[in-house]
Amino acid sequence: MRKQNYFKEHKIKHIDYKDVETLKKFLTPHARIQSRKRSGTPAKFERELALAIKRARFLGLLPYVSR
Amino acid sequence: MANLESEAGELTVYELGFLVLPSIPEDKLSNVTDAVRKIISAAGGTEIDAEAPIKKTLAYSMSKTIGASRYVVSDAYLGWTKFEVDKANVPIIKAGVEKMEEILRFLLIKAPRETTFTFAKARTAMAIETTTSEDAEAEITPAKLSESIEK
Repeated sequence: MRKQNYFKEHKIKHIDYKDVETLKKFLTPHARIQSRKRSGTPAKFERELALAIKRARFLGLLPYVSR
Repeated sequence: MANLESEAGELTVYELGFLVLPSIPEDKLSNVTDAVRKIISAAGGTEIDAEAPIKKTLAYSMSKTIGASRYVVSDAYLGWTKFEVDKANVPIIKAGVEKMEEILRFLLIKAPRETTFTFAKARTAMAIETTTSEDAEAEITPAKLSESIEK
């Protein structure tokens, strides 16, 4: 079964680093970026997502580590 | 570097996200955003979109050294502005913002022209989500419950 693409479903064209609530969905409890196996995100969106999360981390919106 | 010449004169859209120190009173935040705006316009940039800084709790504590004193903060005001500027003038903006004492940290990135996310939008979306979930809960309780009991 093909996994869902969250960003296409929600019509998110550009993944913004300020959109913390969306980004949080793709973090593990340890605040690491979820693997594609877990999240089912296509490669293109995964790259954008990773960049957005890293930007959010730099500005203190998301943690680098947790627990 | 053959493409250096073609790069000059081209306008690119950038976004500057910045954290303002929480020690600055809320009514003086506009001074900080005005100062940022001045730096951008001095470098020949034109503003496309912006949002006033709002208070955010940081995910980890950051520090900023001003002179001899070091400030450790765990919350800050987050603001952003989107502008169009010549690629060659970006280092001027970067240097200008770096010199500002009120700015804790900033992020200067290339961005798409259209704004897809604002804090105001996110807040309304959150509000709608919570009200709909409350409605769903409320729908079950008074009238429907009595109906189901009658049946």
